[in-house]
Amino acid sequence: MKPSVALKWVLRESRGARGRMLYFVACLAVGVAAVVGTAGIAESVAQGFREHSREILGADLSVSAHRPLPADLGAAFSPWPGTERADLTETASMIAAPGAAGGATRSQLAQVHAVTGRYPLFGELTTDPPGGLGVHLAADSVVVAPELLESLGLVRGDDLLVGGTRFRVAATVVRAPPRFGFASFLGPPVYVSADGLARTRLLGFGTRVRHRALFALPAGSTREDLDAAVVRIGAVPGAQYLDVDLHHQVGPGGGQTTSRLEGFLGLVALLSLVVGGIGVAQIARTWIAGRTQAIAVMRCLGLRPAEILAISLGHLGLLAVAGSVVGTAIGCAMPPIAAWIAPDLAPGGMPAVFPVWAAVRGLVLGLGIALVFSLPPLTAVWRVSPALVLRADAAPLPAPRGVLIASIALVVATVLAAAWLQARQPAWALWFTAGFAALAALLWGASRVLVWGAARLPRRRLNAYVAHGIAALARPGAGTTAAVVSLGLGAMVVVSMGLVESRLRHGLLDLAPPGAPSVFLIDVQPGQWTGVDEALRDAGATNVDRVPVVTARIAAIDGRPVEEFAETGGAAAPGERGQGRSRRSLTREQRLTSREALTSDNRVVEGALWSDPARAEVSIEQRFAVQLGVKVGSTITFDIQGVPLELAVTSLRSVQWQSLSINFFFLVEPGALGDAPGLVLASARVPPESERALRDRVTRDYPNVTVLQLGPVIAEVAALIGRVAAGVSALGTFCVVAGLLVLAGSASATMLRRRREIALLKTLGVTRGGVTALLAVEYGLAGAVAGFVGAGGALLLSWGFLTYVTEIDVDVPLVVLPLTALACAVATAASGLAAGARTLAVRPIESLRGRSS
Amino acid sequence: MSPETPLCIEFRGVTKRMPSGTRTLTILDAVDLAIPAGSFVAVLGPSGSGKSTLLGLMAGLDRPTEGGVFLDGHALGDLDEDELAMLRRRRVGFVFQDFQLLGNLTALENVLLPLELAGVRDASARGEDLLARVGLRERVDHYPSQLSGGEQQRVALARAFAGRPAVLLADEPTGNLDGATGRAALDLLVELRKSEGMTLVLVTHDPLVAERADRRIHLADGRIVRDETSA
Repeated sequence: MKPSVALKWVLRESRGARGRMLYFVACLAVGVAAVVGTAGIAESVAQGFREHSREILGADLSVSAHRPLPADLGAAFSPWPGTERADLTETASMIAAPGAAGGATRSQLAQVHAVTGRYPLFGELTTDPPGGLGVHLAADSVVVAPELLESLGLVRGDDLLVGGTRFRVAATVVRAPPRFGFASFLGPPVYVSADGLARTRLLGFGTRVRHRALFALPAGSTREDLDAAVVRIGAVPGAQYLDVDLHHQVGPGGGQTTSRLEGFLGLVALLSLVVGGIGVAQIARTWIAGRTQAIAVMRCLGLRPAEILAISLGHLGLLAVAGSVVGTAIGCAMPPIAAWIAPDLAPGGMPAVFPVWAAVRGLVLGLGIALVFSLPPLTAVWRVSPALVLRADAAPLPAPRGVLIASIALVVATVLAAAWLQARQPAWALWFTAGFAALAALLWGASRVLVWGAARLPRRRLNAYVAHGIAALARPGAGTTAAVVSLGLGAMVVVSMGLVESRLRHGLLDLAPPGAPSVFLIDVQPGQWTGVDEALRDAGATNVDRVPVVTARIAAIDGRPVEEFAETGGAAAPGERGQGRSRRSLTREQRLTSREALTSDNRVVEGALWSDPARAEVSIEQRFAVQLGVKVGSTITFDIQGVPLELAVTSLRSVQWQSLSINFFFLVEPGALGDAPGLVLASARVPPESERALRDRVTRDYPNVTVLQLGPVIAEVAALIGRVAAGVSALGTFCVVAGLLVLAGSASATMLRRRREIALLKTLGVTRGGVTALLAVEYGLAGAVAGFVGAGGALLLSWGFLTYVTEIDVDVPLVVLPLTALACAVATAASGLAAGARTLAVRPIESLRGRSS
Repeated sequence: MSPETPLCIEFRGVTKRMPSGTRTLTILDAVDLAIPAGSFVAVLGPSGSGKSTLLGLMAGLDRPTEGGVFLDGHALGDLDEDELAMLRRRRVGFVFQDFQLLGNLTALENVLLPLELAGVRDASARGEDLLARVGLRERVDHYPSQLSGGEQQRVALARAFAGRPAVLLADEPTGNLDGATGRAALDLLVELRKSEGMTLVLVTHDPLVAERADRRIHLADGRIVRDETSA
């Protein structure tokens, strides 16, 4: 057949397609909108980060370490004369309002940034009064966030204590470079000068400080210049301890967590599209079933099955284009809406750009999923016997097994490819495809059981409407399977996200183990412990625990210097592995502690604790041991203030981190640390009403001690989880809407065939209300089964995720099963009846005429 | 018809059985039949005698349980579904009792179907000419649902003749029409066949319709019980 003729036939086939077009386009558009919307928002956020990347980092390039930076670091930039540099020293510390006697009254944990040079090198840090840090910072003055003043009850011009040293608040921050990561949970920023920091007692032994150098290359420098600078930094002695961040690696794409979140959201969106694909398949199946006679005529006239398939596919392709375009248009409108609802999604706001790639991705995926999902039902054209034109009872021809198997294989391959495109991680794509197939199979099985049961259930004693409604589920072409599968998948997404979010939030906020600490006291000097302990007791603290902490670095593993493992490439991303080991884990500053016996939240999983009297031993948390590349039998040499200490790894431990108690990766045999200089870390459960008083007292008496209250940090994390979960739930709603559309489309298509049946029922005396009731029973039952199985899958998924990924002990709220079943039953009955409203109005005379006047 | 005239359709010991519940029905029983090219044959018989099955087998719409069917020298049993479709496309036209027009196509588009399949260049002109010949010049753009039964059958006739098939198979072409309309449709069918010169096999249970044919084959219980030729 000539292509021009085929095209003509495709266009003709599209006549009178309004009915199926509505649901076909709607099913597809919902899924495409979810995909485009998610990708579009991610694209806009990424664009926002790209546009402001230098402002976010405050530089072209940042070099940081937990030790003083190499003196000759600046020499690495000698090929680029005119390179500008600013230095920051960052630490967390208690900030206090001075009392009448000079001691502290109210206090607050804050992030202290000591600045040398012009900061930031890009973007701006504006102050009130204007002038910036260069004007307002001096040895005795600070610039602080306004919320810190509010918390301390101070105003601009007042004095405050940083590390026990008095400073005048010269200005407040109006706008500053955004902060990311855990540091942003640790309180508002305080800017001091380098001289000012030197006046404090914060840089004493054991304080956790991060040194950072920011660089701005001369104007006109390229990405290649930055890469060359990274190479030169890698050649600086001590480069293995340096972390290098480039401005274009900031945020999504550079941030591994953000990329994973984007991939996860992309898969949830894809689920909506796949559910829409099921709807498309169902509509194609119903359409082809209704075209049987026409197909027989076409075959009679000499069209081959493959030609009829091509024409049918071409027609559905036109509908798919319409659905994809509508969905893409809706999806493209989502980024501005998201920017309006959550303006802080990207620093500096989300730019108003047309998400080109998101739109292309949506169109390709929409068209691909629609066509591929249509293929299996369209293979039915092979089974249509041309003899149907002569005899209505002509037997169907044999199914084309090869074509059918190939089309199903194509569906699986397409879902896999789409999942890979969305998540960009092959393992995720495989899990998504396998999980989707398993759940779809489970839902398919449930729907078959429902149909089987509906056909065999003794209905004699049931109400007539209920009996008829149940029987209708089993009639041929009812579309029960597609409706149950698609709706069940939608219900599963929404319910599982709701469960995970509520359990995580609940687990974080309320389900801390009884007696779990609520306050940590960090960097307590040994001589200060008596006073701190007294303050704790006065505050009514219970479960007080304290351990010695010695800071050290790993010098060698099994006698080989750590430098051999940690590659010198300074530009290595956080967590990058050198020779199978994590570079950051190898080079970071380690904290060693010592205990005689394990606490209840620790368990030896390999080896034995303190089992070798001949050697000094260390026990390592099992996952961290993997990152270090050590096992039982290895030796680790630590560098403690220049003194080497070799320890034998004799046991690996599992740690229940969610107990929130004091735990370390390294546990050293008592006595092995000798008189190594160390500090004390303490934890305690303090009544909430006493926390503030304790914090203020400890800050007043021991300014170097950091008081970390877990409550506010957990609340911040819970709020963040809540926002992510809300986004996922919103995407899950797309999935449910797609599921309902599948059901409505199926109902609408079958309603056309049921006109005479309904007219006949009315002729026999069934009222319109009665017909409505029996249809509601039919749809409601399908919805209830979909909801029940979907909720079951959600319980399984969320339980697995919470238990094995987050390691939170959770109950299984079985009440979700009936509640979801009920909700789905109501929703499906409503959507099914709405879709068939016109058919419900059919007049009884049509049972005689067969056609409406 | 001279003895040298080539055969258009030939049945050699054709039997067709079909399952019916737990039984197997024999629809055609060892039928031998030869139809020369250019002849007009009527197949008569009561309901269930196997008339339509015979017609379906002639066009390769169905396959015999035993025996062989030959169309224009092609053994239909040797052809797969695609090859049968191509043979029908080139050689066979149909007229059905219930017209079998495609509802989403206009009258003209229904007529154009075989022409487009054959890749005919001036398809529209021939389609319009044929519709004019069946008296539907003014109704070319009407859909089947906008036409009467008689008009639909005339469109079906135009479609059947459009591709100039070698064989025209008609299954009760007047069965769904009233007397006058049926007679008019039959007149048209006979006239068009005469002008186009193709083989026509017409299934009917109406002796008056069969009278118009050159040859009448009577079927009963799946067997040919009488084969008569007009003088």
